[in-house]
Amino acid sequence: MTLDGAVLCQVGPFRFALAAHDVSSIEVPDARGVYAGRWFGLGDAWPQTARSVRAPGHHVVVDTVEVHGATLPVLAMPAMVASHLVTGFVDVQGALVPVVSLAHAAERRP
Amino acid sequence: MTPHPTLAGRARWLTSPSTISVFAGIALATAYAWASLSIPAGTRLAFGVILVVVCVVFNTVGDLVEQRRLSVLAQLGRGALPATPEHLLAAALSVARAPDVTLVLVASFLSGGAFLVGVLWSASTAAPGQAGLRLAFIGLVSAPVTSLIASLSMFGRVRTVLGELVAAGLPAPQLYAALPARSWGGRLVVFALVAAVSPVVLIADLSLERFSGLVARVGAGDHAAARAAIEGSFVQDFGALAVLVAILLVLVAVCAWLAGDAIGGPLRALAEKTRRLAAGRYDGDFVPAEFESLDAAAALHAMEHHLLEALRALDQTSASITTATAALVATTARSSERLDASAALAQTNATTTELARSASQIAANAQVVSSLAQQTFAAARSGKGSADAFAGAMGQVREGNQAIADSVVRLNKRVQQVGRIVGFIDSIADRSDLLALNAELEGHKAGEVGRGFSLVAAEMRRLAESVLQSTREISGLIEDIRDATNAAVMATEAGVKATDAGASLSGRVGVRLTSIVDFANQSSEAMQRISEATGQQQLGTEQLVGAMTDILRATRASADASGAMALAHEELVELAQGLTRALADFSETRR
Repeated sequence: MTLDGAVLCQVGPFRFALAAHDVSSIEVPDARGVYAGRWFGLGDAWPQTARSVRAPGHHVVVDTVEVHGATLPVLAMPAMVASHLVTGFVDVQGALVPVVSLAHAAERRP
Repeated sequence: MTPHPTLAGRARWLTSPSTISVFAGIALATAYAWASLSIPAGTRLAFGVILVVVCVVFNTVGDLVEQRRLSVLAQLGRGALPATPEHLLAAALSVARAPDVTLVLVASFLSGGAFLVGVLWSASTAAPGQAGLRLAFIGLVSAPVTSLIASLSMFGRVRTVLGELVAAGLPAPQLYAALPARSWGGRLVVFALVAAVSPVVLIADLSLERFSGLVARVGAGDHAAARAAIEGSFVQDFGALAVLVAILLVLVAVCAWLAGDAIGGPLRALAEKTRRLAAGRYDGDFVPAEFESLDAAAALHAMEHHLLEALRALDQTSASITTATAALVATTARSSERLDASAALAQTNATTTELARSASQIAANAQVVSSLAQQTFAAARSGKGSADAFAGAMGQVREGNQAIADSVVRLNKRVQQVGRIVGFIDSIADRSDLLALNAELEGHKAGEVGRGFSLVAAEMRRLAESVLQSTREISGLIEDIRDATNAAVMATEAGVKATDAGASLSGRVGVRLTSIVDFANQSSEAMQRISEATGQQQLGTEQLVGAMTDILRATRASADASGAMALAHEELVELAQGLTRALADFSETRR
């Protein structure tokens, strides 16, 4: 299993990846945006350079966004711990970054 | 009050000669009447009784009148009245009038008494009325002589009592002024007539009585009796006449002696007083006198008073002369000591010379201080010019600071404009980055077809990120510039405030320097005046040195002359002491 194009999002010291085909656009966050730092206990305030990653019907605000165009192999989640939120891990320059489903991530309410 | 020691009983003593004189006159008149009248044998007792009764009554009445007139003197003698000058003067006036009162009383008593005796005797004894008339006639004739003797016999006692009143405290000048001015002239004529006429009248009366008795016997035809009377009357009549003449001569002699004593007594006292005055004995005693001698006594007393005043003044003057002469001698003695004083004066002269040198030094110092004061004034004036220049420079600095502040403010505004531009560029770069990111995302979503597009988008994204990085750096620089400009603005504002404070301070310094210039100017002028005054003082001190030199010369000359003056003063002292001794003789006689 591979991921053809990924959007790497950075929130504080944490990183996660979104499938490029799930992201419709990257915009400047507005007041209605939801900061992804909430997932990691970093609060609701995002930095001035934050970006809003928008998917159809969902969007999330992260600190930085990077588009990774190469095809990345995805390490699938074991069956016993598989969830709809994290679909697997990709190896980005030697580091494993979780692949997050934005639709399921948006449904998670802190 | 206690009786006065000298005036007690003086009223009675004063009038006693008049009583004696009256009884003596009565005795003589009675004897004459007894001899000249043929008193019937049966009426002699009645005559004697009537005579005694009338004499006692009239004498009592007369004595009461006299004592009443002298009542003030009697009260002073008893101590019933205080011996004040008023009481003493009243007593003195009554005493001075006592001889005249006695004269009138005795004359009235004798004439009236004789008439009353004659009337009563004729009426009570059926004696011939002619005998009663003759008795009245005898009393009338003997009255002037008797009253004259009674009055004259009182003058001596009057003078004695007046002297005692003066000794008792009556001021003599007051008594002299109060006593009435009278003259002996008319009184002596009366006295002479009385003394001459009364004996003649009595002798004529006796002769007429003898002749009328003889005629009566002849007329009655009693020729034998007439013959016997004629033959035997020679011896009888001669004897009676001789006794009568002798009595009358005694009376006239007594009158003359009393009159002479009344006139001569005061004159003798005045002569004695004058001799005492001539001998220089000014005792101030009262000289009792009457009539003209009273004026002489008053004048002599006034003269003595004036002489005493003059002697007192002369005594004081002599004492003053003695004191002044002694002072002159002492001064002369001190003058001889002026050689020592001249030594002190020479020392003073040396001190004055030293003072002149000090004054010269002071004048020189004052000149130096005046010059320093002028230099101080010039320095203060220069300092004020520097202060004014400093104030002008401070104003220029303030204007420069203000210009810098304005420039910095303008620079800050420019920087802010640049910041806004950089912000705009940054927003554009950010949007470019966002567009590039989305383009890259779309390129990747397009697969192989959009790979080139993704690469271009990635490259654009890197450019945008570079721009963003640059704009962030520029923003940091702008922020630094802004901080710097803000600091510069604050610094220039502080500089403006400092220059304002400096300008204000320089203004106050200018005001103070103006005051200092004024004070320095005043000090310079004052020092100039002090320098001039010390110059004048130096000149005056030099003149003082000259004057002291002259005084020293004059003092030495005075010391030489004082020796001669001392001799003259010693002679003056001897003269003053002689004058004092002469006055002391007068003073001792005055005590």
